[in-house]
Amino acid sequence: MVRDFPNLTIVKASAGSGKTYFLTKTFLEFLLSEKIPYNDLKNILAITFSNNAAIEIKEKIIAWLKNLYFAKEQAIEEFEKIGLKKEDLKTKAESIIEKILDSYSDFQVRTIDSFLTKIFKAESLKFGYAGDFQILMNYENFLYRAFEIFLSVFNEKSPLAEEILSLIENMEETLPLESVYPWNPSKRIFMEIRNLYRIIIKSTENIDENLFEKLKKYSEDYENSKKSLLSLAEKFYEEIKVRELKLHSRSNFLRKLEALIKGRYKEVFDLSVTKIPILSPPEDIVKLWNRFRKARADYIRYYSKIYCKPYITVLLSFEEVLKRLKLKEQKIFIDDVNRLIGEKIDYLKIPEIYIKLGERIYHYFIDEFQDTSPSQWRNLKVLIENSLSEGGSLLIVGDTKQAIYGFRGADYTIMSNLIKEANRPKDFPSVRFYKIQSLINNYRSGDRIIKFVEKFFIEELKDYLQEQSEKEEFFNRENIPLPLTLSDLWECKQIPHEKLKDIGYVKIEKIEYEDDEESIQKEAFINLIRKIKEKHNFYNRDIAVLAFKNKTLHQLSAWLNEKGIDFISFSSLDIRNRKIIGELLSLLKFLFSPIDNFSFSTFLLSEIARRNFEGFIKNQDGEIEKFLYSLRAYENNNFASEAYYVRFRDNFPTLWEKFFSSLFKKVGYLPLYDMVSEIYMNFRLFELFPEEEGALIKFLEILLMFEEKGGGLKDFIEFYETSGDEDETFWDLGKPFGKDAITLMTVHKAKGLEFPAILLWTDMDTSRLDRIIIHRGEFLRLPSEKALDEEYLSDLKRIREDIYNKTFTEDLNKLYVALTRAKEVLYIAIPCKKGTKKPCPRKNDAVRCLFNLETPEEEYRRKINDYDSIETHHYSVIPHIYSPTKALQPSMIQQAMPSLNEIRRGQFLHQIMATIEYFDYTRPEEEFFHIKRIIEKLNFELKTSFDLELILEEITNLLQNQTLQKYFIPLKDRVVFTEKEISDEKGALHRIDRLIVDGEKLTILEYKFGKNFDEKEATEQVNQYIKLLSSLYKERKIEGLIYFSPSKRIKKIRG
Amino acid sequence: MKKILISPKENMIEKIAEYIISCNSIDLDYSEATVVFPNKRPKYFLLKYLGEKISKPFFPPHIISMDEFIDETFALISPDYKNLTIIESVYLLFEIFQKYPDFAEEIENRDLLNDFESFFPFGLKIFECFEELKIEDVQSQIFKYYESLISFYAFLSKVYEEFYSTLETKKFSTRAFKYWRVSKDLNPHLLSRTKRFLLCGFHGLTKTEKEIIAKINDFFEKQYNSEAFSQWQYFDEQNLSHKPHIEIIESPDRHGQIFMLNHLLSDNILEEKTLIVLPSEDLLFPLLKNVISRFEEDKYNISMGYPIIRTPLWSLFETISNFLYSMFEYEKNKYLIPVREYLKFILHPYVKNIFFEKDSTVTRILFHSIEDYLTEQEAAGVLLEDMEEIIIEKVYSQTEELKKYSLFSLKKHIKKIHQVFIRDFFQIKDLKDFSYKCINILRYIYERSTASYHPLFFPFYSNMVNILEEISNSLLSAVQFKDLSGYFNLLKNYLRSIRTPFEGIPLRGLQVLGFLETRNLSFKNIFFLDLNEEIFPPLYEDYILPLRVREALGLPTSRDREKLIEYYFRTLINGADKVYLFYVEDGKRERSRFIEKIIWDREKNLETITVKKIHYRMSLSAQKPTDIKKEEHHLNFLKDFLFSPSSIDVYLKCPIKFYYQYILGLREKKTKEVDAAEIGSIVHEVLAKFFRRFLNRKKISKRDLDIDLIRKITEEEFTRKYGNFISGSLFLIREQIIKRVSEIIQNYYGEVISKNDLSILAIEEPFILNLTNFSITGKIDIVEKRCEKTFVIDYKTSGRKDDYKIKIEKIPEIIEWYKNEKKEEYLSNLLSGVIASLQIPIYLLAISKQKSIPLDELVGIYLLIGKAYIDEEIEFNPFKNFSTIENPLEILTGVLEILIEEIKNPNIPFYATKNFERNCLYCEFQKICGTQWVN
Repeated sequence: MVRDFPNLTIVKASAGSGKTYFLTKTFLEFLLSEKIPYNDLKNILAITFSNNAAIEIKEKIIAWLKNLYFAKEQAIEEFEKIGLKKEDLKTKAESIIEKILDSYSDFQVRTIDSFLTKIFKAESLKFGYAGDFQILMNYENFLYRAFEIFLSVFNEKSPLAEEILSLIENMEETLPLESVYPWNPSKRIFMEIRNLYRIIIKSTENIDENLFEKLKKYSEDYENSKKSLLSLAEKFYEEIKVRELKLHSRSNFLRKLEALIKGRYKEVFDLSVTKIPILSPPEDIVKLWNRFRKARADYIRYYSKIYCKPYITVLLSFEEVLKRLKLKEQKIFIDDVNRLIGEKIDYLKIPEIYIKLGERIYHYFIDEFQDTSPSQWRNLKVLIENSLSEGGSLLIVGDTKQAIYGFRGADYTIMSNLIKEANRPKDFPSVRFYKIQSLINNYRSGDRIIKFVEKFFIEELKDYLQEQSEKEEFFNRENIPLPLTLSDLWECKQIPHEKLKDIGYVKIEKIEYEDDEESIQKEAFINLIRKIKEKHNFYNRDIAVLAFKNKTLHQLSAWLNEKGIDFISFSSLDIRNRKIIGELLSLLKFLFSPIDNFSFSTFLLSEIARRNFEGFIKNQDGEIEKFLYSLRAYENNNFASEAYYVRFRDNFPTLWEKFFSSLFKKVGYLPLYDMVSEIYMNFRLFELFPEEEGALIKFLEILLMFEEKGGGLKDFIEFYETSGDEDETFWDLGKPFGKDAITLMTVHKAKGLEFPAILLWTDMDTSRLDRIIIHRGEFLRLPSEKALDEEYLSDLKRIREDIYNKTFTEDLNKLYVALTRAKEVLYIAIPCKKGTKKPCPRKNDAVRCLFNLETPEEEYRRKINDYDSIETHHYSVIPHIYSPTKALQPSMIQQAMPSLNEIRRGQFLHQIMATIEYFDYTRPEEEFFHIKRIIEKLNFELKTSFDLELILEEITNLLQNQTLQKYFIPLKDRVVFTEKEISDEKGALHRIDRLIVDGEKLTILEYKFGKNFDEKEATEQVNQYIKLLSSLYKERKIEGLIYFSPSKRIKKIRG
Repeated sequence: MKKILISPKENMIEKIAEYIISCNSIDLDYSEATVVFPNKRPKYFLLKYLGEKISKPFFPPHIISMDEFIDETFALISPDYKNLTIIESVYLLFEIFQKYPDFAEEIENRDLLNDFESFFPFGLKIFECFEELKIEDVQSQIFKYYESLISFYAFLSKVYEEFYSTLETKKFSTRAFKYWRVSKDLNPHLLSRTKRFLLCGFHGLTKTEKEIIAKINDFFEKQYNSEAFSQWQYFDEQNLSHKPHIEIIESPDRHGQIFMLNHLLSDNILEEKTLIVLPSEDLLFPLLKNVISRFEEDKYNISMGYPIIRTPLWSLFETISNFLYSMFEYEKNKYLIPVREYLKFILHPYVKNIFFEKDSTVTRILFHSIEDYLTEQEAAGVLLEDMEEIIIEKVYSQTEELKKYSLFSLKKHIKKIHQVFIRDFFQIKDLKDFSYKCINILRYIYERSTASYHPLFFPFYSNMVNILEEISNSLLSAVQFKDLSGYFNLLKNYLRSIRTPFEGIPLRGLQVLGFLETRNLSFKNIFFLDLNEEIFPPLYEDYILPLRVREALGLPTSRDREKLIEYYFRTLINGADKVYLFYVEDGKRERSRFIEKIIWDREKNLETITVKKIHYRMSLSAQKPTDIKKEEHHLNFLKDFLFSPSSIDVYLKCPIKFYYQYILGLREKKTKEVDAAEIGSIVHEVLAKFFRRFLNRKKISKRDLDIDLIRKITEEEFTRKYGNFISGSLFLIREQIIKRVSEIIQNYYGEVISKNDLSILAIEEPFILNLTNFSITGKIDIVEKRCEKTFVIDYKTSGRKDDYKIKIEKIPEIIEWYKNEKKEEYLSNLLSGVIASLQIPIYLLAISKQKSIPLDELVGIYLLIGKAYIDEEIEFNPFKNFSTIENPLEILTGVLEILIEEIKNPNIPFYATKNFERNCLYCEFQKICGTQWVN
């Protein structure tokens, strides 16, 4: 329990140690405690990394509170420790729940992105953004669109031509030998620029102000280095030839020199320079060799420095286009948000930020801290230090061993560094020291699993890596491989929970194959699944198959599919993988472009068509197929200009009428969502494909979200094919329920989850290193390990090794995450080709180490039986619910289309007439002057531009009409109503233009100003008024008059 | 004042109706009573109840909303004042801000005051903030008080003061100004027509409202009695004796709510007592299409607004603006249009369905034929003028269906469309001019396209015309922007706040209402959708007047608003008998606090409330293609089919693909993007043209390898294919082709020439290879004589040997096995990974026979010209390790024979590949097979 303030506590929480439990409990302690300053709900903020986690934490806090209120023993026990009595806890819990529910906005558990976005919005004016803008969490497509615009007008005359062409040159120069020539370089350019853009936008490092001047200088140096490399190569070549020097057998030096002389500089990248390749070299040749090495090193160094130059130049111009597009569409990237705050954070006034946010935050809780990125941290740090200086606190919970989001910019070293400076705080001078706490209990896995994991990382992998590498950069002073120490894997010891003693089973399964890789792996995989179920007594739903790559999961799910074993693959939830959705898209493509014969044919061959056509044609498969086949001949006869659908319409009139005709017509005016709804109905999709209900509903859901952005059919087809900038789960079906199914997911997705039995498929490669980095304000492109194996390049080598160690650490972290998901049974499958010379499996050291381990075969049957069962029995799916459309069907035959201008003109004139109670015919000029003013005012207020004179003429005609004049003069006992409301017996409202009450006589005056009036309708209307009025004014004489303005005619209707 | 508090269990409107009737027992004229509600909808309910109770026609009371009351009263107080629209008010603010240029510096946003377009979004926020202050009667000095906290307040105070004084000077009014003025100047005389005043359902009043009400009360008490003014309100009953039956339903997405609602709605509750609440408009169309559409039109009402920006009408303007944005003036009065954007424009449903002689079919055929033509031509850009003349002529000549009409009339048609949608926008004078031109487009599609067939088109159309009219006749009509995007941006920003109302009258049947519409109404059955945080309650964020400042000023805060909403929510729910509350649980959205609260209230009372979850049926199994049985016509077709090397390669990959591609002849529609196949064909063409010159030459020398010619040939080829405007990625592709072909000529052929005597024997040499019972035909890229050997060459733009490898040594065993155990496994499956392509072997066999060249004089190679470097390594000879090609070719001839036998075998269906990963990934028939899961 935190007692002294300001306070900064860092909690190291290994896998299964109850991290969320700890965090929620501490959050609640803060709320409940009477000793913590500023502990009002609104002064505490918990930061998570996903919406899901934020929702979960909120739910857990509320659940704790409810347990306290209902005096649940375990909850009471936990919180009595903070010094509150049972009764007080109940009352306090109740008041906190009420408070939370009353001021829910103060209950702040938010994602880091949403918190920083909130700050950004609060200060948006200072960042140049006014009004509403959309923040894009993903922006790949947006960037690509901007790039297309950027490139679209580019040609040889463009100012950037030279840069772009040199960039392509540069690109080719660095292509690996086995790569393909960039025929269409724009895509590659885009990828490099995107990469660079991301690096810059995510980086917290400042770019050197004099970068361009430096680059200019480096370019010269680069050219010089090429020259000297070439001249030395020539010299060497000559020496070898003339002096007939002998080269080491297998040396490719001579070939490399030849290539160099031809101008292929990049050949020197993979030239080994550790030893001089000449046998018994004379001294002067050794000197020459050293000069050559130095020249090569210079060349590589400058190459690495200037590689990005053309990209940066192009990027700068591209950014202009990007900026314009962002402004035009009012969009901003989440990384912009971080960067802009970061750039200004020192100038912003923290108190002002807090005022705009609503409240000062005194206590920060950060979950999954290892996933914070440097740019996020830079921004948070300032706010947190401010709170600490006011007596607040920061609680960080995380596990560097589970840091696997480096590819998104997360950096676990932020956490490691904080731990390092715990006793001498640098980042947070307001606290004297940081308190470090470890959660060392494991509540998840059986102790045998825990022990296996410990032994693997602390002993076996350490020994193995020590054997494998001689590089000093790879080890710390104690000779421990750095990838084991950087993220603390080295200290992964945990204490198993009492109840989990003697529980657990770990087995490494080596799957060795020779040629028939697939069938052996398939068989082994299926056997393992059976083993887990039969031998170890688990259900499908208890088992999760984990792999590192999506591709592997596709393969594994195909095998399960083949064997008819139920599974849920989180890699194949994308509805676009469903056949029916693909078929729907073909139909949409056809409807969009009826000449798209391919899409039409695809749809005719679809399952949707097949099931629908049943009953309409005999032997429908054959018929449709024959029809398409016949079109082939037809096309060959050069009638290609006629679309297939025309022939289909002629050949299958019933099918056309029934299924396509109306859609074909409606596509012209129905919005996308409506269109697809019509398709669903026309083709009875819910009825005929009940098993695809989830996918079909998701498709509608996606259309709805898409239409919100205002896109049409063409845009949707593009969106479907490119995925848009939506998050990775956008197209996914919701989590399926109700089946006893195996779960298949990637290790990344499995983080934070647990399963009774895990089958880990070790398809792990060693991750690629980031090639381009920002180092001391400059961009560097790191050459390969081989290229840097040279003392002249030791500084670059060191940088590369650091990155290598960090990347490899993350690979090991992934493995740690994978190995710590199982509660009871863990199978590690390692496929490997037999008899290869290189160690097997080839790709990753850690997996290789696992492969070398032996785990005994043991009898083990499930020991824990209280797993939460997957919700198989809770609720049923929606019953079939589609009904045919009755209303809102457009009529294809248009009635006379109303003219908007006519309608508005009529309303305008009515409004003027409504203002005229009486007209003084003795002073018409004054009266008309007044009416003119009214017309002007109305024109202004209604934003119309009716011609004053014409309107006046219309009004004058009416008022000067001989028959009507008498109804506009004041009389004794006369009462005039304009726009008089009268309600019928059902409460429906009617409005009479002018009602004149003269004692016993009532006159209704109705104006018809439009050209296209319906006299019959108008007469009925007045008759209706007469009827209504006669019910109210019994015995009185009622007369109706209709004034038809265009003809100045008056129709009288007697009551 | 008579204050009447009503339990949510009672129906306030019904009570009011009874009260009104009871106050006037003499006649049926209730028009001397004024009833004021916060909103408009209760009016119709009140009228309905009055009608029901009176059962005769009657003069209704004057039932109005508060805003209407203020408007009426203000018109009497200040008849000379003219009302400003929102956009005008913001414009007025813009003019005032111009006097304070330092403001932009202060907030470090220098672009803000540059033009009205940039200012508008900010100005709108400031305007809303000012209006709130004015309606709360807050003085400008307050800004000064807080300027030490929020620095730009120093400026705001001045602008605030000036804004309202300008209104007075110019005799303009805004909503808040009217409230403020009425609160100051309301006098008894203005109320003399009313004898009874009912203020109904107000909860949370502004300061000016309070003042107004106090004055009204004062008047009625003095004039009549305390009962003449009555205030009606629901009290917030916490402990109801009779609670509604509540069901909570969790849905995995928003549609789940709709479908479940459809299931729950039975016909017998289709009446005014049944309510569907949509707190946001997002679900309106799903509800219309999937639920409401099954009812007759007189069985329901919808009363809510729909954002115009979401309608297809706006999407048309978006398309036009993108199109206009992307075109540019190439020469004076000549406009270059990017084909991609142009196609988007002509294929917009509203554009391609414009009538041509009262029918839209012709326009559709015309535009899709243009699409076809431009796609086929692959032009990146065309001149607008060419579209109207040359291109339409070409399209016309190629399209049979257009020939029924005169070319002249079609040209006129397209010119007219260009005029209205495009050319009119080349010159925009000012906002008025711009608005007119937009209205012109709207009228054009309204009168001359199928757009108006949609039942909801007219309301959206008229709303949008009104908005444009409003702009064109407003104070800012003469505003000019430096470019066209400024006009479109302003329009878009303004339209963001505009909603087209569904009015929902006459009152009848099931009520579909936005939340605010439900205030003060009572229902028996309620279906409340979208109960998720940020939708309901909605998110309130105000960074100009943040919470603390609001608290200090006594302005309502976001918390007060949430409380107000909660009050209305609770009274609505508590008034009902049966309530269904829906929310979405998808891991991203949080359920509404109001649901949490209901659950907690019940839990506290030890009552249980279950949450029902909606789950869908779904299938996750991966689809595999089914075999296709060979029919009579297939067999007939195959009997005469001339195989090509690529058709055989396709069969080897996947027989089903062979079936779709060659038997059904299906071909994917070309897209605008230049793909690898097209690049390949250009490269082939360039090389062919280059070498054709040497056909009859004995020997080619190094001097013949003229690099400049490559550029010339390639440029000609591009111009022929893509027109004169080569830009963007197409330009880069062209440059890359020139560079690469030059390298091939220089580095590869230069080397070949230096080592051998080279002559060209044939270019694109056609052949027919007759084998037992079948023939193979094709064209060989180039046949060369290099010293003694004849080289049969195929250019490949890829760089991967693996695509062409043949593992000859493995074949005999496979064939043996196949022959003996046939039927167990199909041939292509067995050969998968053994034969990647049979192209070169077929060429060799063909040339050897056709030209009678002994096989040992022949060399067959692929030139992998897509490799990183061009040197001798680009040669790939699949038989390199064989001393003679005779033997391998014999084996492969055997393979060919069995393969063709299998193809023609009626008992073997067209079956699918087994290697989905390799063969399905880029296959165009994935959608037919259902193998999209391979990705």
